[in-house]
Amino acid sequence: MKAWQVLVRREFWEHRALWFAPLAMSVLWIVIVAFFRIQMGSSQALTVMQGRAIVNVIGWGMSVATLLVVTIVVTFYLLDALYAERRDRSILFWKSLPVSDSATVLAKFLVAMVIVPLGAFLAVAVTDLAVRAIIAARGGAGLAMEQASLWDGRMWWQAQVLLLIGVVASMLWYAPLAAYLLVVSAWARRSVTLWAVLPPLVLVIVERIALQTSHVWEFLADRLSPAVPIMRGIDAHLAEGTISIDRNEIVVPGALLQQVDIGAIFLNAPMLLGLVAAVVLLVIAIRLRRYRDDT
Amino acid sequence: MTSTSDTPVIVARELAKSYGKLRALDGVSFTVGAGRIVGLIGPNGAGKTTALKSILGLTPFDGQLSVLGRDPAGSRGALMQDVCFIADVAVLPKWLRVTQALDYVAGVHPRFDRARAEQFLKTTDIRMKSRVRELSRGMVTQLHLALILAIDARLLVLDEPTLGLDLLFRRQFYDTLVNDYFDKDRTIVLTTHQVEEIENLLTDVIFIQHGRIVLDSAVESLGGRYRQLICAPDQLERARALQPFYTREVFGRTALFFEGRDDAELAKYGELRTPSIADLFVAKMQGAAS
Repeated sequence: MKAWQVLVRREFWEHRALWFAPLAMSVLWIVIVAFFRIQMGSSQALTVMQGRAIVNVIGWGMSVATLLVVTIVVTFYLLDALYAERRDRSILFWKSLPVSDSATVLAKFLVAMVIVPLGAFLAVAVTDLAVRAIIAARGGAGLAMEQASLWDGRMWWQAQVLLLIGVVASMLWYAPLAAYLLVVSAWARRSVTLWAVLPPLVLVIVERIALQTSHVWEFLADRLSPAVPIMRGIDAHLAEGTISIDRNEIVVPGALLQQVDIGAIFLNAPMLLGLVAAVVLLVIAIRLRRYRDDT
Repeated sequence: MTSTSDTPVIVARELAKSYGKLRALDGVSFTVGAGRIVGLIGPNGAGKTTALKSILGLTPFDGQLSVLGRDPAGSRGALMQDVCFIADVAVLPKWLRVTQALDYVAGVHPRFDRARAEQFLKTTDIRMKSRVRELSRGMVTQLHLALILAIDARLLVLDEPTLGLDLLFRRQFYDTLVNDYFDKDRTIVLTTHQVEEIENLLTDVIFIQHGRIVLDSAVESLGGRYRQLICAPDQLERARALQPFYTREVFGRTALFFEGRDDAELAKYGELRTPSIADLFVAKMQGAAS
C-alpha cells in the first residue's frame, strides 16, 4: 500500500499539469464569478425555478470545461508516461528498484483513469459550492435572483450524482483509448503523438479509398465521444417510450436522474468489449515495458 | 533461499544474446561467489553491458542464468529487493528532487535506511530541495550512491558508474564503496574503462571480448599464471623463443607477457613481474587480435 502511494505521488511530481490544470480551472471559475457580472438577455426577475436552472447550468458548464481540459492533460500524460523514461534513460533507475513492470504501468493507468478524473470531479464540486456562495454574497452577481434559487441541498446532491455517473461512464468508455496510448508510449522510439494518431488515421483513409465506406471512422468517433454511454442510458428509456422531460425541468438534475437507465450505460456490448480491449492493451504495455530494451 | 557465503551469487551457463546478426554474447559461462568484487572488463561492444542487463533481468537472453537463486528473466521486480545497480551517471531523471528520490525509494524498497542516506548526503554539497537538473554530474552520482549505500542489498551491479566524472569524484566514489558498503556478505560486479583505478579493489576479473570470455580468474592467482618479463635487448631473441602471447616495447625495453611458464625458466632473461590488470588486459586483447 505504501509502495502504491509513492508510485502514484511520483506521477504528480513528474507531471505537475495533472494537479495544476484542475486547480487552475477552479481558480479561474472563482475569479470569474467573483469579479464579473453575469449578463442575461433580460434583467427581469427570475422565478426560483429559473434561478436554479441557471445556477445548475453554470455548474455543469464548469464541469464540462474542467473535464475537457483534464482529458487533454491526461492524453498527453499517457503518451509521455512510458516514453519519457526511455528517452532520458531514467527507466534504468526506476527498474533498479523492486517495482514490477505491472505495478508501474497499472499505477500510471490508475492515475490517468481514476485518480485525476475523480480528483477533477471533486474539485469541480467544491468549486460549485464556492461559486454559489459567491453569487449569494454578491446578491446575484447581476442576476435578479432569489436567494432560494441558490441552494437546494437535495438538488445539489442529485446534480453531483448525475455528474459522477457521467465521469465514471466516460472513464470506463475511454479505458481502451488510455491503454492504447500507454502501448504507443511504451513502444514508439520517437514522435509518440504521431504514432498514436497515424495508425487509426491510415486505417480510415485506406478504408475510404479501398471500400468507400467509413466504418472505422464511425467506430472511432463513437469511441471518442464521452456522451455516447450517457446517451445510451437515456436512449434506453426513449426506446421504451417512458421518457418524459418537461422543458422547464430539463436542467433539473432530479428529473434527469430519473430518466437515466444506469444499467444501460454500463452493461452493454460496446462498453464491456472496450474494457476487455483495455485489459489486453494493458498487458501488451506491461510486456513492452518489460522487454523493450533501447537504452 | 539460502544465504550462506558458499552459494554462488551468479551462475551463468552458455549465456547468449544476439542483436540481429551481431552476437553480443556468444555462449558465456561464469560464476560469481559471495563477497567478491568482480571486474567485468572488455573493449566497447564486447558484451559487458548485455551481460549485466541479463543479470538484472532487463533483457531477455538465451542460456541459463541464476542470480541469488532466481531466474532474472521475468522476476526483475522481486530480484531488485536484493540487487542494486547504477547504470551510469545520467539515469536519475532531471525533474526529480532529492527529497522526492528519498521518498520514492523509501516507499518502494523495504530495505532502505533513509537516515543513512540523509547522513551521507550531509557530507556532500547536495541540498535536499535541489532537483537533479541543478546538480553537477559528480553530485548526481553522489546522490545515486547515497541511495544505494542505504539499501541493504546482497549484489551491487555497477555499469560504468564513474563515466565522465573527474578524478576526485571517481576516487571518492570507489573509496566510499569499499569503506562504507562492501563486506563479506556483499558482492559487487562492475564494468569500467578506467581499469587502473579499480585494480586494487577487485578480487576477480573477467575479460570479455567479442561476446566471449577471454580470461576469468581471481586476482590473487593471476600472478601464478601470468608473468611479465622486462627483457634486456641482448636477451630478447631467446626470450621470444619461449612464445610470449604479447610483446610491448617501452622506452627501448621490451615487456614480454607469458602464460603458464615456470618462473625459473623466465627469470634467466630479465626482470620478472606480476603484470598489472591494465597491462594484462591490453596484452590479452592485443594478443588475441594478432
